[in-house]
Amino acid sequence: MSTVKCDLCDNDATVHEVKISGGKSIERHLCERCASAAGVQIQPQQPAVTQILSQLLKGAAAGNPQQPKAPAQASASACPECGLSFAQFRQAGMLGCAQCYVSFEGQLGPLLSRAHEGGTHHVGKVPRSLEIIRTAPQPAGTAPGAGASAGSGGAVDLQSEELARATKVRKALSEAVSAENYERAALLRDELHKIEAVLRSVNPPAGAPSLARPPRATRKPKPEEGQPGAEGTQP
Amino acid sequence: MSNTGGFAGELFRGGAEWLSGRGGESDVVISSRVRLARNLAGFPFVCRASRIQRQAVLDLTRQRLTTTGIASRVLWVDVHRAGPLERTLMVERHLISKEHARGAPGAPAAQAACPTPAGQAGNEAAAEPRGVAISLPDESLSVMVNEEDHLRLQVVRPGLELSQAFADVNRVDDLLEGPSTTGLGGKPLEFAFSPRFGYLTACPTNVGTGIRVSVMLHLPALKLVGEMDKVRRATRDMGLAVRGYYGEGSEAAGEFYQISNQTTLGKPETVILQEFEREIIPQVIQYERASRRLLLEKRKRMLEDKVFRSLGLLRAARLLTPEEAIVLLSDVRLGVLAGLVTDIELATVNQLILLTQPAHLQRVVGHDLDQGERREARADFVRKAMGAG
Repeated sequence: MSTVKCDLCDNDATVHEVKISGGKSIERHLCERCASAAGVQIQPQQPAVTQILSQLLKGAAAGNPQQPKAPAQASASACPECGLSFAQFRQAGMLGCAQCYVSFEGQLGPLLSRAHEGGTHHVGKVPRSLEIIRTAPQPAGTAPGAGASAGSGGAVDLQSEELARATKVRKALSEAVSAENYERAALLRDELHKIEAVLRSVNPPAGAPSLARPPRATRKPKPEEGQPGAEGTQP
Repeated sequence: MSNTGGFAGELFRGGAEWLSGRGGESDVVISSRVRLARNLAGFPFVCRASRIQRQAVLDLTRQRLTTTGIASRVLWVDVHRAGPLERTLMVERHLISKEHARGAPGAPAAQAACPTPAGQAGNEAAAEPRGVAISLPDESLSVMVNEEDHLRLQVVRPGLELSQAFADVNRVDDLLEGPSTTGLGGKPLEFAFSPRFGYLTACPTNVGTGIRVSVMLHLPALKLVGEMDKVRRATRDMGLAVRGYYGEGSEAAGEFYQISNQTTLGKPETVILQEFEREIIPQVIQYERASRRLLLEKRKRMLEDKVFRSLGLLRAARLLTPEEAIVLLSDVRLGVLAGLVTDIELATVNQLILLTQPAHLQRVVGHDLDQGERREARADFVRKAMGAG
């Protein structure tokens, strides 16, 4: 609440910049004039997530200088699975079904990256049912969670191979992100893209909204997890 | 596994564990919460699902939640059939969201555009099939079904215990979509997941890990020394959200704040948790403790005045609103922790924060009260609990 003076002159500071680097925060307090001279962007109030999102969406709709035509065109199309149009999504900020992520992938990509501080790809937990594919690759149909891939014979072979590869890459990616080694992370991400392309060709996302699903990559190594005895016990 | 009839008694029997004052760093950290958002593959998201589809999601998940051993005892509540008092009781205990109690999405824009087949609102929306599974007796786990996403799994623990909260909720997540360990439990649930976007959620701000990590902090000293705005700015610049006691859309009440992550795509769960548990929250804790020391050393009279005025009001007031109660209790909590107030237990203050809420107060009194009666009953109850007549 108390007024802070500008770092550069005697005016009251209205722009407060906090940079976080290496776990330390560096603060700058500037008045409006010094801030604009220093090239610091002025953001009035940190908006809520929904506001950020709706602004991003409006930006996408209005046609961002980099991608003038695509969003406008695409907003006319609707998700074939649930019928939601991109315009409806823009209004509500809610997607209609899992397939929407495929239907609007082009428009969602840049939007998600802005909403998630540059994050474009999932890194982290992967559904447990996929471990079944890893540990018992062949007898498809016997595994309860393998519904989507059951019965697709030879495709499962290639798929499980690619899935295993994706696991390794994903793990390495997760480590690279943790270590803030972004160059390596970018390379690994590209590799993951390629694997996904292969997986998509093997397992087209027809009725099943979940695409091909690689085994779990980065699970926290908790001793109690995965121990059959521990799971029936009380929390 | 009882249904709605009289379940409020079950909930009321135990205190809310997250308000027990146990757990690490509990002088500053009230509770730690980890939430996972999940959707079932093969169904539209809730907003776009028909009533029949919502009912199917509810039936599938209820069976799984009540038979897979997610807790030693599980209470299932059909929220759309529960009474208003029971719903509010669950909101006050942070077991369900306000939106889940009401049966409509929170943001007006989402309400207007949420293209439900019937296009309904108000009473219609309140009747949409939805539920919650709650672990008993500790109530640390709750799984909302058909809120914004098909499943919202959350674990709340007292104090700073994020790793444990995550381990607990992760275990439940595994149980729901893994092979059953009890031999019961029906079909495993298959979650909507894509290799690129991770766990798919109705709102793209949750996509990826679907994780929301929140820590509720009591920061009265930072407020008193005028440093709270700085903390708000710093946390917001780190891409975190700062909210009030009642969560989304609420201002701080009584200097209780919730800090939570907003980024869910591109960062593994472990990294998000570590940032919170090892870097961000410890810094805020140190900052608050330093401010408390500063107040005691340099501005003790002012601090005493603040604390004892609030205590005086609580001991003397004849009418109290919930908002006023929480502000005064916040001051007294600081007084107890600073060693200024010695005849009141911290646990009493913590429990009063919950028991002065409207639905809890009516449970205490044992019958329905209108707003005016509640103010009177609240003041009477607080005076007694504080050792005044």
